Amino acid sequence: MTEGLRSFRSLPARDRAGGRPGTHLLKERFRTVAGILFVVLACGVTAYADRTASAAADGLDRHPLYSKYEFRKNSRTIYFGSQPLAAPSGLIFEVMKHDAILRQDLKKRGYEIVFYPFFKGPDINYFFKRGEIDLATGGDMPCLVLAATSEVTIAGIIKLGDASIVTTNQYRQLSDLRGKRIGFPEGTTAQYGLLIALEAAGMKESDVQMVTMEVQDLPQALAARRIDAFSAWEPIPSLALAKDKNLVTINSFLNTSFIYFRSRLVREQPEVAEILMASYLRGLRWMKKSDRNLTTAARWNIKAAEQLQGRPFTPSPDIIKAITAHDILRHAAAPFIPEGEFRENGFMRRAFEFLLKKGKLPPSASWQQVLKSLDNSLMKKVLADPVKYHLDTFRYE
Amino acid sequence: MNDRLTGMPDNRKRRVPATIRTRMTVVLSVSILVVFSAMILVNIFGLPFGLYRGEYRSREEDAVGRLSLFADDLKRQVTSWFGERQSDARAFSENSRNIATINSLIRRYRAGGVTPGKMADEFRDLAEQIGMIRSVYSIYDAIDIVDPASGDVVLSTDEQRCCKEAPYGKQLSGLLRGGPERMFFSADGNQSSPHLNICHLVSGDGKTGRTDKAIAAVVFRIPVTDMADQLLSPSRALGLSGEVVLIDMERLILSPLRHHLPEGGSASPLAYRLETEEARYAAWGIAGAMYSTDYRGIPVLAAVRHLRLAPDFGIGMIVKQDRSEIMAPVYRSIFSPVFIMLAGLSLVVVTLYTVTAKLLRPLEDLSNTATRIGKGDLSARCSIGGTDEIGILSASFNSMADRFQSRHQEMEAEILRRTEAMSESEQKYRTLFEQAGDYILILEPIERKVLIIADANEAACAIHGYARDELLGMPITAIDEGLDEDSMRELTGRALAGETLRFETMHSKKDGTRFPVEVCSRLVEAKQGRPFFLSIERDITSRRQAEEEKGRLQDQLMQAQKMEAVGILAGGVAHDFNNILSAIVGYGSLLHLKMTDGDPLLQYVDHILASTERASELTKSLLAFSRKQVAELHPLNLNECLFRFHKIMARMVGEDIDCRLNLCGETLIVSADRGQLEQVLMNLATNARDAMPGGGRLQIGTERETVETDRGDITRGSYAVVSVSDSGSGMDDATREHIFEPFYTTKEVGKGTGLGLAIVHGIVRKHNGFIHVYSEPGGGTTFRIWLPLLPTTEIEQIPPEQAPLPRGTEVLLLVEDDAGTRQVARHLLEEYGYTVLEAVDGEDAVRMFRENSARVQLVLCDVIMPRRNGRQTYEELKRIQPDVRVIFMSGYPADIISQRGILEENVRILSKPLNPTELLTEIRDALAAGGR
Repeated sequence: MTEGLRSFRSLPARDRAGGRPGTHLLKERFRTVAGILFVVLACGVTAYADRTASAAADGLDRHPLYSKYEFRKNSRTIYFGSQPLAAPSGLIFEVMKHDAILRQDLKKRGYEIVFYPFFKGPDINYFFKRGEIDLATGGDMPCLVLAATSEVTIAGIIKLGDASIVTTNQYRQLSDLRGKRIGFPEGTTAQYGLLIALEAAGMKESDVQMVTMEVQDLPQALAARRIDAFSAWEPIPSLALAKDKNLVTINSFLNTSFIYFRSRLVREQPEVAEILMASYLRGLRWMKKSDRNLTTAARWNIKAAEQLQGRPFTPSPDIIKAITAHDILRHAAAPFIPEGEFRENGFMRRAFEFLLKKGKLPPSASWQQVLKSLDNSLMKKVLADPVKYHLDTFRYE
Repeated sequence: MNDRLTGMPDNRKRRVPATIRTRMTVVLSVSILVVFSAMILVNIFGLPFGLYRGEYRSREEDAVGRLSLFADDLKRQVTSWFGERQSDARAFSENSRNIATINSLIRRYRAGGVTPGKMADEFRDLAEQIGMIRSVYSIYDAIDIVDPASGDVVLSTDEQRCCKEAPYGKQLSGLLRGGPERMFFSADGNQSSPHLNICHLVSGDGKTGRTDKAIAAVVFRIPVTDMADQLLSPSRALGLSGEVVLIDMERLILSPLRHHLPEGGSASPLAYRLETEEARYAAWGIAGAMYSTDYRGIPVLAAVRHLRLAPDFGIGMIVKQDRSEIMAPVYRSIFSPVFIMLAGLSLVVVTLYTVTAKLLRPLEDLSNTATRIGKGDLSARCSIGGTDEIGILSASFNSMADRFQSRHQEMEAEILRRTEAMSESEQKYRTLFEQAGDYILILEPIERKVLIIADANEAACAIHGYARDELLGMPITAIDEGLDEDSMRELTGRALAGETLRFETMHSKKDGTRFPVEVCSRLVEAKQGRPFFLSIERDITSRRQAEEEKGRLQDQLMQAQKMEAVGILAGGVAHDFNNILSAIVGYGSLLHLKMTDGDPLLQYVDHILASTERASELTKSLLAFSRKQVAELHPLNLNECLFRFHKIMARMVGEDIDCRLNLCGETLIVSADRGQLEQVLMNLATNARDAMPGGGRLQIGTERETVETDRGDITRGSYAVVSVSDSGSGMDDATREHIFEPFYTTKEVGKGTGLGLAIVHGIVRKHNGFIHVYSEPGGGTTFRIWLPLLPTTEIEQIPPEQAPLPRGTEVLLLVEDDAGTRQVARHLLEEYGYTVLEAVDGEDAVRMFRENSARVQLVLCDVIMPRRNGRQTYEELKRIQPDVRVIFMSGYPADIISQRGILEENVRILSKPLNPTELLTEIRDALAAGGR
């Protein structure tokens, strides 16, 4: 072979290449260089992806707030994650946090509950998937993604409302934002709802400039015109509209939020799940009972949000109250999962298909698994015995 | 008209220049149009970057806001309406008494054996209650109590439905999970009567809120059409095209469409699915405003809302209005300003036109005047007066026009003068150019490689046989054979360097004829610095011929001078020799006379006389050669002369030569000297005899020949041609060229003088004739002599046979400076009876004649004498005796004597040596002629 190679090399390049002098050598060299570049690129991409992924993962683990969360690996502590910056999720979260009866009932049974606030649903779900969060509230899209890929028990709704696309009043419809910058929190109802709205308007994701931002930064970014619009859940849009009269909501889309449990908790510790569900239902009844209670809850929410984001959370209590009243309190008597939305042509079914098409769900995502996660029985059970679960007894501290 | 730059025809349309009025009108009109249009457009469409919204956008935004407000308001109304319906059902279903009754009802139905009437009877209160609710709330067309287990309607306001399966039973059974309240639409199997069903479950344990034990479902039914009528009545406020459409989450319409479908047919609620963009929006639960195209394909503005009326029940609401209706006020608002603008524009144009007409009339007058002046009417003046700016301008213009006119006239005169001068100069030089005798060519060098004929004068065209057009543009090498590329480049270079070229070359005419030219060429620079060559050429054919002729003549002159020198020498020698011969001939003749025939010394005297004869012939030949022998030309019948001389010539050439005569039949009269002519013939015959030593043939012939054109040295005319041909040895070319030269001979020394043919040539030339020789070695020789023919036919009389020598007794005066000649002559004359007085010279002759003038009858006088020559002596003698008779004697020819002015022409002259016969005959003739 060496001989052949040597004799081959001794041939003029023209003979070797069968064409112009040096062509063969050039091709060889090109292939080699291209191959090396490809390998390097692939490694780089992989490393970058890994790094990004790990960065993302590492990012939440190293999140300045989340990194301080302690998750004790025992079954006697219940970790409850929610979003103070969402309404009414954050409000319900604060109400349950102040529910003395909840603590008392859990303590009787040797449990305690820890409330951890998060900025957005995917953040909660990150820890939920790791088995560190036992109870959570979150938007429909993150919940859908979680239910399609993990074991979760969706026990009821905490919101039947809207999320909105807010922009300046020079734009009148979504198609006016073609080429513009739209901010949104990654992986949330706000993002997926924006994608659905774009699809419905006959636009592609590439028709606009998608800018990922934290939800709490959206109003300021729009005010500073760092973005031309944002998609967010309440109360962020109401907060922005209240501050700037030049802003308008050009689109709103359905935004349902759910309360969901780690399935193992429901399965292995049903009484804890019932206590937690009772606290939720109790809170709804307490807020619905009087405007003062609702106002108190709203203030708890605002304070918690300010603590979370480290700066004033400026929606007025009235905005929080109005949202809460509209989105959940009118369903307080029976905040069951709207099964119609999970039927064949229901909104959630269509949203699942949409996310699958857009690659926001892995191809292995199962709709059957989503359906399996729906369970109204826990709520029914609690509602069926209001005395046992102290649904009408209130002690908030 | 041709384009000034390219010279090609300019087909562009010529623009009419715009007047100020037109421009002002146009500019103002356009400005108004633009400004107003801009204003209208800005008013309608606004300005960018949000500077101004514009009516269009305002209208749009107002429409969006209005529709959105309407939609939000209607949403609240619809939500409230649905809430009220739910409250109706809830209130009935959660009533504790109703709960108990319904429980009983269901248990009774399940027990079986009931009929609709029976159920109504048994549960009359409940039936009346639902009947009353239906009556009070006319919106419900039926209230059913349904057993969820069987799906049957147990009790209803419509008795006919009782105890039968509810037409919506399957939909209902699927809704029993979840909360106690449900709403759903059903078509009931009949698309014409879709219903909204408000359903509330009744718990079996009588406790509200617990749905796990629902025993019955109370369904309040509302026809969708009634629902739409109640909900959508406010849509009339949306205008003619405005519409509110309700759809479910599958985009099935829940309310009748206001407008017709473009494809025809009807759109029934719960049967027709909207496939519009806003419907998709609504089905996704998205709310907002949008521009889209509705089910008619018409552009609309739509406000879409999603109504989440229950956790598990939502509908979409589309509030829309045609864009054309929304924007109609905007469009209408365009017309008024446009109309006003056009009206205003028209008014402005008319006013402007009128005002500018007045204002601009003076300027137009000024312009017209300027135009007239521009067209050549320099007398045109502006008629505008006044002291305003226009008047001042007009006055200044007129003043300028005056100066311009004056200056123009001066310039015209100057131009005319210069033009005439230029024309004259041009004409002069053109005349010089064209009429120059020399050929003038103007040559243009092309890259120093080719010389092109740029111009040629008439002479050049004529000589080359080309028309001017043919010559122009032709390369010089086409007519100049002597120029090749290298030589032309070399000559061109030298000429461009300023050298004047002179050379000779060969040109060719159009017919191919070649002729030599002398060229003088030099560089001339044209105005743009382009070099041209002025080439003056001259046909030197005649010069060359003249040079050749000159050469030939020079040769002839040299020959003639040589011959003249020889002739002079010969003449001088002949003269002196003649005197000597005269004595010898005289004394020899005397001796011959004194001797008897038997005298043995007579032969010696004969030899002496023969020798002197030959010597005399020789001198004659010399004199003839030198042309000193006088030719006495007389009309001569050539044929007759030749005929007579033929015998002599025959005897001379000998018997071995056949001498023939071939004379033409015509009479050929020539002017000739018989003796010289015979001498010519004799010389030619002699040469022929010498060329035929063994004998041969000699032929002499005559013919007439007319030469039409000059042929070599033979000029045009009529000739008698004498040809002398022999069959001798002939001559080669070298010999033939020299035969007429004096002293040229091919014979041995002593065999010939070499003067014979020279003498022949001289005699023929003296006769104004021409002689040519034709000979080839071994081919004989022919001499042809052309003698001009005389037109007369005068024939010389042939003198008779010579009579005995005349004698006389008169007294003669003999004047001769040479003693010997004088003595011989005296003795001869005295022998023949004359008395002779002798004078030794002219002086002596005069003395003697004076003394003896009465006796002397005749004077014999030598011509050339010292002290007084013969002429002078004759003049003197004539003074003594005017009619004195004189016979002169001389060794010189008579023409020479007359040329020297010695004697007059036509006097009697005897040539020396004196021939006694001629002497005695001449004396006798003179004495017989009379006079003294």
